Amino acid sequence: MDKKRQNGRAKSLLQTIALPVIVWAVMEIIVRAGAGTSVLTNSADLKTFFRNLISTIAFALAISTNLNCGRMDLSLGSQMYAGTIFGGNLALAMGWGGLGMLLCSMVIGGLCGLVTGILFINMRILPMVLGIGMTLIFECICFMINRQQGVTIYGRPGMELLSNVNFIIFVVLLLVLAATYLFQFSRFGYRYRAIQGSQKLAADSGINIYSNCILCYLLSGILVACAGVFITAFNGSLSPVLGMSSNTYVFSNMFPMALGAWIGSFCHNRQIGIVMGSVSVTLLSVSLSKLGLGISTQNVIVYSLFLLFTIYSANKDKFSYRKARAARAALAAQTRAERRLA
Amino acid sequence: MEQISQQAIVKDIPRLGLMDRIDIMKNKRGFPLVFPLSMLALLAVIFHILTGGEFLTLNVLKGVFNQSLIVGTMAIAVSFIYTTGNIDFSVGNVMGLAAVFGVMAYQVTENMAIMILVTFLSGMALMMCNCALGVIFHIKSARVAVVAMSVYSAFTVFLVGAEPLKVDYKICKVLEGNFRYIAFILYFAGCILMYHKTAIGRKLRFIGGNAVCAKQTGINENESIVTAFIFAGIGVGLAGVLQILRTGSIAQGVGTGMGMDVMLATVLGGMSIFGGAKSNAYAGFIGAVTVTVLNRGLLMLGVSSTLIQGARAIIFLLLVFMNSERQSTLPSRQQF
Repeated sequence: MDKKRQNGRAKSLLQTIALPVIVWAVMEIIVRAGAGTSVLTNSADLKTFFRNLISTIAFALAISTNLNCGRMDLSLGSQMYAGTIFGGNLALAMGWGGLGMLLCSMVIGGLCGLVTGILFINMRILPMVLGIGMTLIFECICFMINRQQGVTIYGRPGMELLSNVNFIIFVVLLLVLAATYLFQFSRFGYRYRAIQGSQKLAADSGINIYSNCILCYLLSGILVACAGVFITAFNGSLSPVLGMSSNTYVFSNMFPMALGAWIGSFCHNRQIGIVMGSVSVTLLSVSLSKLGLGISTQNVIVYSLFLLFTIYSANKDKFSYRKARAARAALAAQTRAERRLA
Repeated sequence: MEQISQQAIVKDIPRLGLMDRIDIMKNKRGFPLVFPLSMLALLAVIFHILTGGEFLTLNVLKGVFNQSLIVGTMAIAVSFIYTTGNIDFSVGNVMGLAAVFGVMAYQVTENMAIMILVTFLSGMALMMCNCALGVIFHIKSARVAVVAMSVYSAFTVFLVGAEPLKVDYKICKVLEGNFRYIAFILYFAGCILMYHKTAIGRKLRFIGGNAVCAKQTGINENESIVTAFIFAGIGVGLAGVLQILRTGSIAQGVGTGMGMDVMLATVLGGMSIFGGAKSNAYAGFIGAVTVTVLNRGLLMLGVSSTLIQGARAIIFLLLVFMNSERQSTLPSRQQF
């Protein structure tokens, strides 16, 4: 029994890490053949990889927080802008450095999420519709502060920390551990999963679905602000946008989130799955950059793969059904052959 | 004795509160048309008063109509899809890519008729691709929209490059006048007829209201969804043509964010983006005109475009709140 369990665990571990390893191996071959170099050759590559990775993980985790309960929050991109621009400017004004900016932005991002959550449970309009409205409001507020300049941290003292690989790895670990604890082992996570199963049944069994929903919005606000800080650190600045352009971040992080949900089904932990999904997508993007492809070509490739993955994930039950049917047919043929011999 | 019993009967009739009266009003048949139109009229009158009688003039109204034409056309188109309970916010990018194909065809042939034909056909073909992903591969429509949006936008950037693709502006100017009005009116009238006066529209609304029940009465859901996407494709193709004629060139960002504008217009027009039996084909256009009236009116009052966006959002949320039914639990929908 123990051996069976051990085998099961080993299988699930292999399935969890398989995709990033396969992506890395395939891209390594392609990059070596195409550019004569490796995917990650020096510390600069590693730094780029981790900087992209953390923002992807944080954003994908934030999207999945509400999406798992049937709430598609389209305002996450604008919450990221609001949290980062307000928090960044506050930290810069107070001279709190990189860590201060990260914390300030996360607090303000959390506040934006909280406001959206409170409005959602009181107005009870469709989350996607509320998301559109809140996007317009947050974008408008971001545009009005700091003379439409957003936040610039390039060359500002104390901000080097946000580009430090060790610090980024520390934050990634912290995020993953905190998310795993919250969603897998805490009372909040238990209730969250009950609501995920059936909101009505959860409410009837005494779970406060409203406070859980507000906490989800709060958490996703904190996570997107964290992503925003690292995106700003990577680009040197973050300029506000109008006309719902902030949604681009939500849509572009859907792929790692979807991959994460799929990988998470192997290890029964969606958070770990999202990390693995994000690692795979980031490795792919870094490799395509190494090949010297333009952004539009990279996007065509990445999103075409997203399309193929979506087709696969929507039809995977059919593949397993066909496989099982073929196995049954083979067994029947074997049985018939054995009977004939007997 | 008779008088007393009459009084008792009158006393027994429950008195309706304000909210009950509002609910009854909301459920009346004409409400989805009357409410958004009243709001539109109210906004126009308010701006007319605030601007000192400058708003309700022929020039301003013509400008409002012209500005809302593209989003309005797409909103009418996409209402066929929304009605069935499917959601598609990639229409802006579909329109953009269709326009790119159209302009590229013009650059090769220098023939305006071919450009219009290619734009129409590309719009329809791309919408049919979205449809195929849903109907054949059983992918949820919101997920299709996210993927399609990203793929089409990437292709548009890839094909256009840094410099915008251009069309002879003189020809655009000639066609811009009557052609676009005639094309729009024909499409609008056709959609209203199809949607409200034929079995096609009834089937779509039935599916949106209760898909299981519709299936059990013999309606082929997939067939109806394909029909919805064909109508949407025609509208999106037309919007692509209107976009080319309006600007005479197509840049990288064409159509970006327009899918969201269409959603905004649809909701403002009083229709749920999740469809249902109460859906209609005109809500999107009323919504598009409302958004333009709001933008134009606030601009005429000297409000900055940033604040206009904020004001638009608050009015949008208030109108949706007023027009929606409060649920006992939290609204949610598994779109992915």
